[in-house]
Amino acid sequence: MDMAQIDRLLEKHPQDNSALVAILQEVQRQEGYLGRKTLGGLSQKLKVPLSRLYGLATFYRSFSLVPTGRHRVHVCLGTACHVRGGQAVLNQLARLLGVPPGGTTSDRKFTVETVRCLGCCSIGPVVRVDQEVFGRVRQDKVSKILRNFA
Amino acid sequence: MITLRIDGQCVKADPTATVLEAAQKAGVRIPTLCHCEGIKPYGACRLCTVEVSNGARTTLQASCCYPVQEGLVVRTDTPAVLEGRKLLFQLLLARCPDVPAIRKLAEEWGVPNTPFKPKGEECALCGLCVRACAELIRAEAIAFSGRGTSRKVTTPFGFPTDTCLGCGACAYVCPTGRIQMEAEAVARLRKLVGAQRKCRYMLMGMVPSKLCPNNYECRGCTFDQAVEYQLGIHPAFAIAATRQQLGTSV
Amino acid sequence: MKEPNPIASTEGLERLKAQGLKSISPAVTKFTVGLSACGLATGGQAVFDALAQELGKASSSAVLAKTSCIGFCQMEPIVEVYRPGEPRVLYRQMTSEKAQKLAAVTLSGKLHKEDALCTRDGFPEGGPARALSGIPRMEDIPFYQKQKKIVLSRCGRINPDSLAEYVAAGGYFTLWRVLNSMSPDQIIAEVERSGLRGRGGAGFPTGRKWRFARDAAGDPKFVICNADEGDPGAYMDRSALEGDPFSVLEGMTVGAYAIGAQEGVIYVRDEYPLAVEKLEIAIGQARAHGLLGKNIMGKGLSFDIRLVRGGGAFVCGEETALIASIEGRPGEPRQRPPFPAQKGLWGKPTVINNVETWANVPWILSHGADAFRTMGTENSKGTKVFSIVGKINNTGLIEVPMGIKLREVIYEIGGGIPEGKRFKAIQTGGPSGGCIPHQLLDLPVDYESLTQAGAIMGSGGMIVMDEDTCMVDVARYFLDFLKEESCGKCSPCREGIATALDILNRICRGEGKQGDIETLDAIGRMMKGFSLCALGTTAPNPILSTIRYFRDEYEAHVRDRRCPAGVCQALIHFRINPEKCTGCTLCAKACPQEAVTGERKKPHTINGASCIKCGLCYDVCKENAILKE
Repeated sequence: MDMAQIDRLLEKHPQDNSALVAILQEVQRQEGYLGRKTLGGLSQKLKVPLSRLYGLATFYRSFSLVPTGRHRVHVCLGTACHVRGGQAVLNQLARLLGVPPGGTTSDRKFTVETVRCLGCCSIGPVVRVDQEVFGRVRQDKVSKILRNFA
Repeated sequence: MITLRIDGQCVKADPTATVLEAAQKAGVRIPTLCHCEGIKPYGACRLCTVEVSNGARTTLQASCCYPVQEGLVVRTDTPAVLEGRKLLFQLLLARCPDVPAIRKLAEEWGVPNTPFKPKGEECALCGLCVRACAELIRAEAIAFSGRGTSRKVTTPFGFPTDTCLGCGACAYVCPTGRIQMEAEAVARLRKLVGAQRKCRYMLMGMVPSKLCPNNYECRGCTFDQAVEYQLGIHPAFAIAATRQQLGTSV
Repeated sequence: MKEPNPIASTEGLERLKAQGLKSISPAVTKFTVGLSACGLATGGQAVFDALAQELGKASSSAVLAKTSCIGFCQMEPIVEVYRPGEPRVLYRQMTSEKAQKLAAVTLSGKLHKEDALCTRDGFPEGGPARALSGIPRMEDIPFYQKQKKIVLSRCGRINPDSLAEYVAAGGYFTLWRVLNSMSPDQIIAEVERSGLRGRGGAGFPTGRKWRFARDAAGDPKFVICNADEGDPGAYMDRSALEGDPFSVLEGMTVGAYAIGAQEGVIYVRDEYPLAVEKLEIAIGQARAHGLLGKNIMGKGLSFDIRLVRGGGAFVCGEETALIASIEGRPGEPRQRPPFPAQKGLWGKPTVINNVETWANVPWILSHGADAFRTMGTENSKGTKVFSIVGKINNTGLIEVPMGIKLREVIYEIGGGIPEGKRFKAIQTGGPSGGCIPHQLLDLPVDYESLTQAGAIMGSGGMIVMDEDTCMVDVARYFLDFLKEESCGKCSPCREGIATALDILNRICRGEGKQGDIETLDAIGRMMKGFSLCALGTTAPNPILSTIRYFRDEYEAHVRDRRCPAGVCQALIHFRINPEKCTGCTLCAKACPQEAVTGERKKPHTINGASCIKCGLCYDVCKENAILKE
């Protein structure tokens, strides 16, 4: 992000410390990751030490310091989903896409991540791709879900 | 003054004191790692955990953060305290197997070995460096990143940072000797020219104006030696007092 | 966008109520679809769209509406049909085809019986439901029979976006009465007398916490709603926020008035975007009607609420970590004392309560502390919302009086274990809780009983486990979770969890050593006393409770290198039973390692050396021919 884009983003938020996480979430949403240049710019504009922003960026799970894929696939490993075979779903997904959990496919199409939990525990195992949540997922039906996404 | 009992001994303490401070004044030994006078207590290492009882409840608490109370009964030697402390030392020894300072501390407290797998870390994550940089220097050049077992002390993105003054406060307070930040900061400072070459005491806000007379060789500098001799401690600890004297808020 | 229309009189409330009643019970047929996160994840939107199409085609005057979680999540997507003068009927596991049929039959004036689950009572006036030729009443269905809805009374019955429907269901009349005729001290006394205890898990008496904050010096004061429901398996707060967000707003407003706060924060997990959306809508409407902001209801109270989203950290459910997060810092807990009621957000007196706790407040003040006390046990008054999930027939959200027995929850409400399997344990309290075995099923569900049994009440997640669950794996699973979520600040938690997890991983790999169980016990005991916050002090609970009740499973793993439940991959192997195998080749096709060989129509075999134990063959086999041993 350049300084003008940062300015526009900051206009929508109160200029106190409590907005720091929300501001970073906005950047994550717009850019797909938190880059060094953007964080440096934010540090300057907000007059907040860069180390503090870096600490936030590496502490909270919703941030990524490297670009993520076009589609973020979250496999829920919450207890209810785990007990119903969530790990097997994750393993199958990782096998199909050829990336370990946390990884992004070489064509930058999918990033596979785990999450605990999405709060849809009654219909586990659950997989979320971007904003769409799929319930009652079986490991042999995973490829069908992926085919929905270009 | 508050009266409390520590290991059966009657102890008088300032109402704003912590149990650790009261114990130390009374000559009762409690192990510490992340504690340093002049820096706010943090409660990270938990080695200073003791049993406290206020009549209604008996719990285990980190004595460095627990405020004294009238009538508090403190025990530093119950089985739960001693067993837990031993196990905690063993875990720290496993984390930092080759750090002499940790080994020495553990041995002093009767824990020479550990049954756990060594991890080869050199930093005990006590946080003193981060806290000194934030509270005393107010530079926040370094901070914690990550969380859980991937928590570590770094500069942003691991790159050298302009915010570091090269004051060496972090190295001064580090109990393990892990932090050695000065070299990069000093190299960067040496590249500056003319009026930009500010003495680190000026960077720390302790003197209004002074340029470096010794090419950032602080160890061999007569001005630095004179100041440290006067203070008797690393200048980082005197900043707050100096700020008050000078009326600045650097 | 409606014009601001502040309510400052009973007439104003009555007008909204009339409006709400008309939309809850219109003069025409109404179809309502449950569209909470679970409803959407099981195809609810397609059902809604199909109904919309049918209603459009028939050009009828029937209306279509949305609601939230109806509780019986196993049956999602659910549709409710309301015909004026007739009992409301719930239809289960709907699809777009079934919805088309339902619409066609209903619009022709007939009662559609296929897929009907039950009838419901009148709403909001209540009263018993009527059965309808073969369709049972809700109160006769085991899942609903023993439930008592207070917090969830409006979930799945109103449109959560509609302030008018909330008011029609009794909302905001309580706030009006409270602001007009009760003093802050009277409110606190009533909440204290009710016996309400924090529903987030710690169970601290709510009224007492409010009193501390009220008496504390400091200005301004804050009220916070902890909606960082991180326990895997628990989604009570998500449903309450998606289904009845106004109840939380009203509860917080009463609380703010009681302690003298002017600002409130609702801290919602990042993983709950729908809940955030519903709250934003509700807050906007409340502001537009003078129910948040300056001079609320014309009574001089100024109070507004901000929404803050979490960043994805379970530890932020701990109150001091949550406060740190709002202050723009990583979610690291700090030592207490001082407690948040004395020094909380920005160092000021702060009451922080869980979603369910806040949602109980309007009910307590409108019905009275005595009415609340008629439910529950001696020390645990009122009701509790639980999620029952896992290996149970009827999964969903339930609200029951405290004191109900676990056996009733599992076998009557839950309908027992699917596929005829044997019950093994019920896990409560999430990663801070423990597993309760079958010999303790007559325990009443209350704070003290569960704690004594080595579990905790927690936020309300109840995960049922059967004979196919390995209890060592369960302990390992929770530690694996906590290892990622520990903030890492204090050594007992950071090093203790990692070391205990190493040991458990070894045990599950078949590399357990003599003395491992004792070591786990010692680490657990140390962590309970030495950790900085509740994440660390309760992290040992899953290990300690599974060792307590399932030690034989641990011994089998360590001594015999065996996993009795057939879960730990390194300790099991898959084998094809040649007597049952029909040679259909499904398993061979599914195997990612090409480890299954055999000719068509002849028994197949698995090559043990290439098998990675993924279990795909086991899952696809229709003949039960694959053995896990």
